[in-house]
Amino acid sequence: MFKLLATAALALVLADTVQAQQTAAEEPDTPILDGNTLGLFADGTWDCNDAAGNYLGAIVVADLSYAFINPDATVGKYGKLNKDTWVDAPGFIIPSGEVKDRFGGIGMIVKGPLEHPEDYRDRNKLRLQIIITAETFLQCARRQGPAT
Amino acid sequence: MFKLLATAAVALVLSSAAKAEDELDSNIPGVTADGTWDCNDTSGTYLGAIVIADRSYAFVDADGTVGSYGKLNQVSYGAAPSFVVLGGALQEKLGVVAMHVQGPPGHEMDFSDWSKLVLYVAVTDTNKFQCVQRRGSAT
Repeated sequence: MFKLLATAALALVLADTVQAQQTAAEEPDTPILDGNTLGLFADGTWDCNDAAGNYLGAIVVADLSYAFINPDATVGKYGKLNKDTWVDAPGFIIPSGEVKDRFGGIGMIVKGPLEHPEDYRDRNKLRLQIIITAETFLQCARRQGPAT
Repeated sequence: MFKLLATAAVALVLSSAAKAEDELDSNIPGVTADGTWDCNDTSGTYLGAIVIADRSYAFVDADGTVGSYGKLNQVSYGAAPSFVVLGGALQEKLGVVAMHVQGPPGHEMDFSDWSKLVLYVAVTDTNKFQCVQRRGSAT
């Protein structure tokens, strides 16, 4: 039941993404890049802030599991991720764990920079957007290192 | 059968850590392997990054693409996180059997400084490479 509701909510939130892609597809000057074709992935450590810029902690994504690391470096709860396969960039429904229980997160999706959410070309500017409601998000930045 | 062999291997690999356990109580809450670890081989060549979350890992190649995924079985040798590696690029490409978290070289049982923890990745008892945790806001 939760999965159904979460899927529906995520579908609503992502509807503007799909609409933007369709609109942009009619405009050849707008670069629309297929996230899957580019080999995008959510795996890694993402540092997250709330809307006011307060540091909330880090989400570590590996395959279909995640760990939450608190700001004091202690581990929060673990959770599972259900892959949402109908979007180009990696998207997941969050059925359990700290992000769901503490922040009310229902889904997460990899996006480009705020000013160009569908532009995935610069890996260093990718965001992990945590979806709380259709209008409320947490923004996470990938922790940089040699491999990114 | 593989699990049995791997468990035996990890017991050998971790035996030195177990012997040193009396030096310092390593049962410090919050020591975790979760996160992104950047790995070099013994000659210092960058191999890629291991991303661990719970009992799953992803291996990110040196060029930033995802290698493959694998599962981890946690074992209870010592108080710090230790795992037998089941599947994925670490096992299939690099021949890894196990990994465990230690303190910095020379102070292997000192887990007090998070930023200095080392992930030891064992191919055999004598063939190991080291990974350091990618630092950021949470460390």
